[in-house]
Amino acid sequence: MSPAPSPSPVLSFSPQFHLLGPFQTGTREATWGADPLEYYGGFHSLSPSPNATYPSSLTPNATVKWSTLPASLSFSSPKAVRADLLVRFPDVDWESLRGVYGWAALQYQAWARGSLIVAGDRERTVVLYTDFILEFWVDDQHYFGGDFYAYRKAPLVLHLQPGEHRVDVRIVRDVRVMGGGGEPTVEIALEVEASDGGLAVGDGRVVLPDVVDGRLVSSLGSVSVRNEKKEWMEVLSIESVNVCVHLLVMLRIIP
Amino acid sequence: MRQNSPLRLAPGHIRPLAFDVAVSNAPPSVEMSLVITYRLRGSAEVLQIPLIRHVFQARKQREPQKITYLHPGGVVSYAILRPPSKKALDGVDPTTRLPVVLGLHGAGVETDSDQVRHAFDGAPDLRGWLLFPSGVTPWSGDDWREPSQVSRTWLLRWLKLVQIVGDLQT
Repeated sequence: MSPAPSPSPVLSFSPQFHLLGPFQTGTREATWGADPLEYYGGFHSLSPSPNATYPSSLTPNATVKWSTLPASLSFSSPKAVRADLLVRFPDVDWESLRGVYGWAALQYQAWARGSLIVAGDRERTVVLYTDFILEFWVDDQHYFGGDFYAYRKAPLVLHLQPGEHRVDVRIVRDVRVMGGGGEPTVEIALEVEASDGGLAVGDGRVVLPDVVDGRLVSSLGSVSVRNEKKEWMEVLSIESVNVCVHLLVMLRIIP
Repeated sequence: MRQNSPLRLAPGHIRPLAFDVAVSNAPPSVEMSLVITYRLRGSAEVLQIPLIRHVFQARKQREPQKITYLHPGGVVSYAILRPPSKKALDGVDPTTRLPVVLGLHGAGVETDSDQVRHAFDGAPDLRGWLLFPSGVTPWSGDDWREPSQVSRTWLLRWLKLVQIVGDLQT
């Protein structure tokens, strides 16, 4: 008997992204803007073109062109997909630049454009993780405040119709975070999961104290909760349901 | 016994849900399962999310142990506290106040880790309390300056307030 075919993925990313860069940036400057493409109306208003060039102080002829960036896709389930992008610009003489300017020369910014694809025939609620990303767009919605340190504590909740959704990602290489040795590459990740909606537990962890001599060292705990609906919610209570362990558990929500 | 106090969440919003908890007469290995109930605004239907399991870590009295406290920002933060060993207290008057040694972790370090808990295993009999604040995140805001300095000053005040230092010293 043949094994059942794997279900088609509900979510996917495009296997190729368009890439534009590298452009100069200073340490911790990206949070203040300082995006050279704003002079042209911003990356979001630009379209990939083989002939378009933009000035950059980092490249041999002081210009950059559009290029392509492959995405490494992995499907942990039909309802979850991850795209890993390794950004590098091997044509830039990084050693020579570092010899003159030091670490500062290894800082750069760039933009990448790809698609988030939603299959099926109905709207999907999804949760989007944006590891090592500061700024991004989904369709025409601009988000400033990605998960630059990949804490994964506050992903974005989206409600998406079937079809392709444009994703523009700003790439920032910060030496202090990513190091100053070797070729300056940037690894970012986009991960999206379909959700059932409702209230979800944030990162799955509960912050609670240790137990010493049969009692808790302190009395406070915390768990992150996330509203994945389009309506407001009220969290009413948190309860312990252990019935087979004889312990006294009292819980009270701190407003 | 529980008191209900609605926590409001906007669409897409994430918030920490802080709570008080008390456990007594617990065996060495304690598991707790939590259920959270909620409702949509304007609806009377009470919904709940699946069980969240947590296994408490049992520590010996002199081992590095995780304590939680209320950060002035309104979130529950934590620190790792190592009490002085019995050998360190040999000959020390019980009323003596021992110093608190702060271990401020480096960039990107998660405090609740063996790396931090056992950082001072090579000096097991220090005559003082070792305290490793988490600083809320592994990057601790701003390298333990201004905003994250609040973490450690509030933590020290909290330790005095709950007399944790006094209790364990005897």
